[in-house]
Amino acid sequence: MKARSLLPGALLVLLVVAAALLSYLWTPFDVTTLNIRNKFASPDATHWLGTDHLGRDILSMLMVGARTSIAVALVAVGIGMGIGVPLGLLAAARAHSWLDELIMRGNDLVFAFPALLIAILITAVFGPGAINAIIAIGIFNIPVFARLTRGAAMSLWSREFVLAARVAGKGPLRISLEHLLPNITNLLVVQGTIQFSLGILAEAGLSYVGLGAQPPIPSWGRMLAESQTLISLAPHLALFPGLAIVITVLGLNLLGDGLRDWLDPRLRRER
Amino acid sequence: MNAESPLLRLDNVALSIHQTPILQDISLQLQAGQTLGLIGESGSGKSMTALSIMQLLPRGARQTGTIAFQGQALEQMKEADLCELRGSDIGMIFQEPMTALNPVKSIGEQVSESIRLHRRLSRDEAQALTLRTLERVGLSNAQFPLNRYPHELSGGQRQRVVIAIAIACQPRLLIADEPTTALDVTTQAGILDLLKSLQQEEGLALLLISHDLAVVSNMADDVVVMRQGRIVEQGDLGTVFGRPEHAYTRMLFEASALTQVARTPTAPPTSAHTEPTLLQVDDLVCEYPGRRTGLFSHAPAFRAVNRVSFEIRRGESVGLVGESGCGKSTLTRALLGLMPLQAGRIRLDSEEVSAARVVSRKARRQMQVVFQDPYGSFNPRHRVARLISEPLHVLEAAPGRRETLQRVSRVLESVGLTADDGDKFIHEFSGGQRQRIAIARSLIVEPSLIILDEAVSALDVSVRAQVLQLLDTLAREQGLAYLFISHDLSVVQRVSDRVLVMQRGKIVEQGDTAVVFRKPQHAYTRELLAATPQLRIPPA
Amino acid sequence: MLHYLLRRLGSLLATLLVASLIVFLVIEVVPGDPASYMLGMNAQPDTVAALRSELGLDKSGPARYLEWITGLVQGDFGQSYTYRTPVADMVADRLWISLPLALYALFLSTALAFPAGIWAASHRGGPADTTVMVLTQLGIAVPNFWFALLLVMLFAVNLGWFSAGGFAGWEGGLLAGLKSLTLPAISLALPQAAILTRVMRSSLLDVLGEDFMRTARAKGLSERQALLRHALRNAMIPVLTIMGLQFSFLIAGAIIIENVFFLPGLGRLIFQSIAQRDLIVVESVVMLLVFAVVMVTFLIDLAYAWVDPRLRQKRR
Repeated sequence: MKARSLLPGALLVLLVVAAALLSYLWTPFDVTTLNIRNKFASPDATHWLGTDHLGRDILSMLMVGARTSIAVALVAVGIGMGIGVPLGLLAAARAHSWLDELIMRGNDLVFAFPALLIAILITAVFGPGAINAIIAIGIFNIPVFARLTRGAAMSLWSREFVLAARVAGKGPLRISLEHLLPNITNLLVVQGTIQFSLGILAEAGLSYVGLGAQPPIPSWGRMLAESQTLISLAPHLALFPGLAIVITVLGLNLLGDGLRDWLDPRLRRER
Repeated sequence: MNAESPLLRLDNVALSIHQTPILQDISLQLQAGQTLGLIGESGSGKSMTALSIMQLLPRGARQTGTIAFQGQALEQMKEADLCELRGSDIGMIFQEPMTALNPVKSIGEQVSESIRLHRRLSRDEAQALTLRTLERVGLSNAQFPLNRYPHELSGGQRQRVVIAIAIACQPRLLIADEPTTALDVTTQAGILDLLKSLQQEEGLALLLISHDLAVVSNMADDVVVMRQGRIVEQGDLGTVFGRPEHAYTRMLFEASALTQVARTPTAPPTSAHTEPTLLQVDDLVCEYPGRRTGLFSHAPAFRAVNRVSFEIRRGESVGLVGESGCGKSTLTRALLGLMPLQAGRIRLDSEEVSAARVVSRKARRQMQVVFQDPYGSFNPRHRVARLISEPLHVLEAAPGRRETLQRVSRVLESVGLTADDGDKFIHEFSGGQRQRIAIARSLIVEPSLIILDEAVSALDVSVRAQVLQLLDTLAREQGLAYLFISHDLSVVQRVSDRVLVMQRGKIVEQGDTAVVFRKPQHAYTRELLAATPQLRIPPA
Repeated sequence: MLHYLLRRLGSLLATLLVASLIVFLVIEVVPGDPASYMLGMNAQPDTVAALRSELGLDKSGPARYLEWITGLVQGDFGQSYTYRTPVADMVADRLWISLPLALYALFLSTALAFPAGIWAASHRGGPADTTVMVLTQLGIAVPNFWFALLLVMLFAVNLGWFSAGGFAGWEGGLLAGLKSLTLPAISLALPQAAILTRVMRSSLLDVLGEDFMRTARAKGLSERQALLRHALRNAMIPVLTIMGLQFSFLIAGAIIIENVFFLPGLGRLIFQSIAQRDLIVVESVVMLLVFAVVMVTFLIDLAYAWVDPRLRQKRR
């Protein structure tokens, strides 16, 4: 069993998720209180990761920021899966019909709009905010899952066990739910972790340019944006939020790789 | 035995991959200009033996013993020298012609590459030799110009290109690993003829690897029988085939003989003729819509089944033979209601079941199916009991849990498995066992007709014989009728009372099996019969 | 071949048409009255009226859409409300920074990824492969704008080799211009290169397992020759797909990266316009970027046909 990246990935993700959950109950310092006198403190025993230009504790902000990142990315993946997977199953069940064609051309259309462009469009009209970031990233996730699901489901439709189910008189809906979905869950889980990590990156990018979560909600991307002008003054401000992103994304990618290796050989043996 | 030193000689060759032993104690020799048949079922290590000779083993492989070619120990040669040898002195052809050629290079490029690699020739000279080589394997330049791509050729034609690559530099030894297994029987005959004439005219030695005793018996001078990585028997063809010593060889022969086309079969069971008609098919037409070329436009439809009519009586076993692409799978699907009909009528027990252009649910209860692939026909995530009970879905009133379990146990036992097997997952079973489970699944709704779609084609010959035996028993005990669809004439001859011959969507001949096989009327049937290799046992 | 080309061209036009409709609806219809939205809450009624007539808001939606589209096709992108200059001129100026930046980054990522991917695949399982895999895993996880900050910290603030931001302009010569684009291009290219390397490697590994690779080895090609002559071209198909997708990521990334380095490109333009509620500019620039993405997709489709003879066939 060669799923070497499963454990480190899971541990990193667990670390970030635990920090985010813990922040609901406790953070070292309150992130809304400013303490200008103690601004730009370097990391020390009190402020493990130092303080920012308003004297806020960086570690506390990172913990609360993790909530935003995880929530935005998770809901966006949920939107992508919730809409994309049924569309993909439907397209596969009606393969090569006009409906399939419509769904696939719709997918191509969404691919013409990178998530950032969608966010820009929404923001231009409705103003910035975390919800807009979720919608933008979520829309971008739909075709990813629709394509993956359609491709996998199409190859399953031609498999003999699906033919056997059809001979047993089962309709497309039951076959999709009973036979197709359970057999593509692995794929979806793996792709889900990948999209989750892309979502974290996208959310950070959007908040960095001011299209994501707005103050006073802390977010990693905005912390980086704020640190930029102060970079020669307090480099640690730019360091830690970036590291937080890297740890989360790395953890999710390792977890995704690990899951794929762990789930895949078993599937092969079962075939 | 020839006195001169052999072209190829293996001495105590053993092979392990990642510490798993694959081959043990393989010793054999092949004289120049001779043909050695290497026989074995899947997993016997025959392909690995071939790859050892090519020194193209997978990663983690460790070989001991000596493989000597023209007196040189191959495993001691440098990789660069081996590259010199491969393709020039030793050529190899593979089982799967559909994937053995690079899809993005033209056939001319692929053949001439091998020439230019080993011969110092100008571009024009190499081109001329490429043309001659392709002509030599039966691909005339007029019909198959060098700029053709593999996807524009059929399986048999692709295999000819692979052979052209292998013989372009006139090798001394040609290794053919199941060269015709993936091909239709008429195509197989052409390729075997080609190999034979190449072997005789170019004087090359042929190492022919096959699971098919009949093929080997028509080609080989000497044979080696392998099982589980070891040689169980070897010698000249007459000795081994005439008086097999080892129990395994004898078993192989018995199993193969069971599925042999005999020219004088026993008289057909006539009882079936008096039984009432079970399935009546009239003028059936099935078409595939053409590829979608735009949002609303299609290419013209392809007629896969063209006005097919036949009937099956109660308890009768009917064989349907035809080569790949003849429409037999489409016909199966249409009968099972998996495909809409464009025209025609299907009656079951004199009752029309195709009224809505699709076979009704009630009819499905009477007709069940067993598919070819013992690995693909089960959902890997369900337990066997659930898999087997799936067809109960077609019953008007699905039985309760208790009765379902009883039925599952009963059918499992009737196919030679135990009731406990219902709790296992499908990956815990071998290919033959899986086909038994597939048969159990078809039996659970107590159908009167089972369609067997290439149901034994993927099985090794010994396992195949057992499954055919089981089908025989079930038919006798339960009065089942079979529609036995196969590309393999020998299997059809063994199991069916009547036979239908299908070609390009039409049934070109039908009649009692014995009659059709003895006095084929249609030219195509005669061609099929002539092409089917006979197990020839020469005098020792 | 021609058939394939025409089909792709048709779907390209259809995509552009529908995309333009969506952009138009979001910008000009969803806000209700774009004129009062652009001018904000406290605008004078007669200013709003003036803008309304300037934007042609008295006309019906379909008529305005048609006008906008015909304008776009003829290179007339309308007039910026804030700057009072034709949008086309503003865009043209900015394009001279954004386009070279995207191409520079594409060049860097390809130049890095192809050799690295091939190297890793041909030494699979070995230390070289492991090193590449670890590095790319890190490369994917690093957000490009943070990487850009780190580059600025190191090369601009500490070493002083590059300026921390701004654009020298092409007037000062090609090298000066390229120099100011180098850090941005590197930060854009690195995460993309990491992804591309992995795709190249795994695609090559898939192809190496194919039957025809065994045929190639059996005809006497060395492992290296077989990889270069037979595997590479087959492995290109998934790699091309990813390169196409990456271009849209590059465009999106460039918008962000231009903000890190204060480059006066399309990205800066779009954010300024959002801040100034200059919807005319936003609309046109978004459409232009969509056009770029769709064109690249089309070019990738052409590249598929070049790589894979099966697609050149009529019936596909």
